[in-house]
Amino acid sequence: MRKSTYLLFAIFLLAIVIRLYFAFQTPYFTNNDSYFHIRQIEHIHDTGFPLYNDDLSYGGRKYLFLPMFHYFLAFFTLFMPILFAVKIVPAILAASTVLLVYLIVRKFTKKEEVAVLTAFISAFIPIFFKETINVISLYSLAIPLTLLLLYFFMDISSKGNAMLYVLVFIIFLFTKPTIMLIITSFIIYFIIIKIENLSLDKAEIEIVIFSLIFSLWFYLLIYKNAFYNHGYAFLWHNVPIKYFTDYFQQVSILQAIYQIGIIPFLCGIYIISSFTLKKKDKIMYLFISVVITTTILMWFKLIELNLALIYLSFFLVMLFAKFLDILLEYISQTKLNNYYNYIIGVILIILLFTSVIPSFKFADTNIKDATKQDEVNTLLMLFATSLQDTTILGSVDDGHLITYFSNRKTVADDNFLLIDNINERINDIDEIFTTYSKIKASELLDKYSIDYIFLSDNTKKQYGLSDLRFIDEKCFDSINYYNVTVYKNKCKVTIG
Amino acid sequence: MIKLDWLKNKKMQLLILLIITLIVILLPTIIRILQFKQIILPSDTIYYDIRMAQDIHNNNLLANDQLVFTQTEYVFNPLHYFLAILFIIIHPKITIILLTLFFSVMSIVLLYKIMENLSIPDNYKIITLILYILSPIFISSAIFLSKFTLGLLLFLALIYLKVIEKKSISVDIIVVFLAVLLFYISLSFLFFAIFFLFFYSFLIKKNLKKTIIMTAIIIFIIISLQQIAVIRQFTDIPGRTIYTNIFQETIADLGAFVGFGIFSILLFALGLYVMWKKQPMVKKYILFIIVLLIITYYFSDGKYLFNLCVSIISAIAFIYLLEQEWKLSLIKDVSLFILILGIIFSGLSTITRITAAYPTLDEYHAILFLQQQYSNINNQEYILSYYRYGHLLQSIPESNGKLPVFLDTKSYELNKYLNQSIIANELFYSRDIKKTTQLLTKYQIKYIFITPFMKSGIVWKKENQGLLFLLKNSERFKSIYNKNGVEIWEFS
Repeated sequence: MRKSTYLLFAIFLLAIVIRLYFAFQTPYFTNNDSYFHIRQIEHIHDTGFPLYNDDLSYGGRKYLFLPMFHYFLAFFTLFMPILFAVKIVPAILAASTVLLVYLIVRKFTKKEEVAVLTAFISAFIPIFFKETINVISLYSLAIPLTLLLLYFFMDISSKGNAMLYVLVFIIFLFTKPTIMLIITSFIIYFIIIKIENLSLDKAEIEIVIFSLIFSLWFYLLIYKNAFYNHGYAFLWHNVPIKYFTDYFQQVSILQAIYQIGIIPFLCGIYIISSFTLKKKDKIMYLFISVVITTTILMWFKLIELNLALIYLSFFLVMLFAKFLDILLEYISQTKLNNYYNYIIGVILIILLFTSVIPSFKFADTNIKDATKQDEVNTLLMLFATSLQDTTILGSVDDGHLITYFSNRKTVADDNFLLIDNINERINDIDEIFTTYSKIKASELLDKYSIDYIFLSDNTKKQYGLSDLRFIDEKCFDSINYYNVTVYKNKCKVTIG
Repeated sequence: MIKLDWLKNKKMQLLILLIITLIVILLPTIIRILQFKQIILPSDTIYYDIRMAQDIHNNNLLANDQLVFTQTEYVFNPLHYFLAILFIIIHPKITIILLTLFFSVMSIVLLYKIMENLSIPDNYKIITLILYILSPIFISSAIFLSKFTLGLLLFLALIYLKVIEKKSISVDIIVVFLAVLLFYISLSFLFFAIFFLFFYSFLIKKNLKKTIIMTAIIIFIIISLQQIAVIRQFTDIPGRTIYTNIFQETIADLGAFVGFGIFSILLFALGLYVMWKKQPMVKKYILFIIVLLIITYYFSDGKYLFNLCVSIISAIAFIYLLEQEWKLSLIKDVSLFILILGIIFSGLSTITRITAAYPTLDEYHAILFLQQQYSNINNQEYILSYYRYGHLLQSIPESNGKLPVFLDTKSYELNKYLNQSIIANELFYSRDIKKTTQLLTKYQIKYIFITPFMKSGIVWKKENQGLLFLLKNSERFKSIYNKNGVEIWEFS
């Protein structure tokens, strides 16, 4: 085996070990959505089907989502406990981007050292760390699938690649609608190729036509009703106005650079300008197309900020590979060749400070922000002491957490699709948490048949509360389970 | 070029196309008849058209509709006069069904003949017509019989007469007459006709002078007619369309009844590219298409005619894809299969929605009950309901009774009656008994008609919302009908 192969596997293992090290520091997860995913995985494990009709979320609702990721993880629960499966498998999936980046970069640079170095950088992309460490996230499958898709597309005319592309494409179709971003990128890629007067491979055009037609038809079947219900708001997942800026916010350049990594960012931008103004290279145009498409969609708030940054990160990293290729080629032809290893060392040190350390910082923050034991114990206590059709109010960010551990109904969570009057509901929740008026609060509590109010630290921080303002002993019992405050609603308003 | 040997016989071609047309058009009607065990025409405006035709037939046509609170002015519609003549010999419902078949079959025959006279190759002809027959707009316009259905036929007749090259004054007179008639269907239909005449003269026949003269005559006749006050009040020039949600209003797969299938749009875009790049002889038509697209954007009625354009260009794209040598042949087969599936799916989806369209059997029986028991055209006691039930509540063919309503589709769509819509919404959503009873008294509303459709989100999203709460909890309201979710309440 070559030295580079050993190095590559070492990087891959390192990426897995680091991810698992952080992930197993807590038995719980950082992100609220993780608990939604676990419920789905458990349901598939038990019944073979996802939970599309949920009696608990929003007091009863239907979900609309693609289940491939959940089935994939559920498969592993056949061989290991669920907690292990949901901690280990996403970590391995996320780390697999190292191998895929290596393969892609080696394909277009034909240089092992450049490919290995780029693979190393891709293991420590800060935003990807932040979104996937100790989190059950669709990104951990969607990003490797994206890279795989592009890998096969780069050489679509080769024997077997078209069929492999189709296979990966179909898996991606059932994972996340982000495939449309890739297809749009391909169309932008064709436009750039035409402008640059380069020749297009017929097979590329054919595969993109197929991808466009198939995905349009598929998503029309799946999401038609959501579009009927929500109209334009469906494109933004029916996110309420209050949270819109959180999901689709504009980012400052400095923030973007920090989360992507300064070296890939700057070098990637250099390569983009170099290849759009001077040189011609189809593979570079392919990556540039993804960067352009992602930027445009982010600008028009058609994709979430974090998703956009992840895509930008990976493709700027690959453009950085080209920069590295050019740089090392230049160095090898000059007197600087004598200092070749030192230069590599300097690059690695810079990467350490600009990518690796920020990644570790994000990972550390994720672990600190993970669900607290007290909150879990409180919710388990509620499960044990409350009736089955009890409704618990928490903030939107605690919705899935409450549902998972207490197995009781909630008023809202962050899965907004197919929910009517979402803005009204969110405003009502805000009102409950901020109002001084007991009458107003009681009306709203009765409107949603709320029996308990779960006041986590997150909720207190979000609303700037130390306690609820309308509470009185006559109508509310304060129950301090394990340092987490829960209020039981004793009074109910009746309509005459 | 694709060989379609078995279809080389022209008669066989036309026969097969007509069979497909009949299947597509009859399917929703047959399913509804099997479901309801009687003929219940879908949608509500057809009931208005039937009532107007009956009034014309009985010499009862009034300048203002007395069966709606807004007393909407009557606007001339050639379809009403056409129906009035046919009602002499055929039952209204049968007339409507026969007319939908007649108009759709004649449209296909005319379109076929036009393409034949223009020497369009067989494969383009057949695929254009199949795409057209399966298009949601054609299916909707055929089954929801309206002036636009008639207008489509008149437009095709106008094109056919120009294309068959009979050099006679009578043909030109008929063309002018048809163009004037199109004005009374829709302004955008007239625009399309005039643009077609210019385009045909300029690009194909090079006889612009005659076309200019004809256009001048058309405009002169229309202006003259408009000067006659009696005629002027019978026209209704539409304002510019304002889209609230352009996707849901133009794409059939996302909800529009008068909309284009998403795959047709895809093929249309590809077809424009193919015309531009690969078929330079037809490049000149692109400007014409752009003008029609602009008209359609500004006047949504134009979609009925622009659909013809979309079908033709989609056919160009489809044949281009079919005839291309693909490097990945399996991908080609799958792509074309999905494309065909998508086009059929758009058509089937429209048929399914038409089959499930209101009124349902329960709603129809409730309306019949109301009209037979409480018919009171002399008393001004109005019925409040969702506007789309307005024309149904006013009159249905089975009943001799007629009832005035607070709001119907015609008045809802006119800006000058916006106030009535606001009042209706206040009544639907208010839980204030005092305010509600005041409004009901002020506007002389006696009955309230409620259906499960209205409670499923179209008016109310929750149980006991607004008026639903008051109906159950106030003595001022008495339930006089309640079957299978359809409720009629009397206010006293």
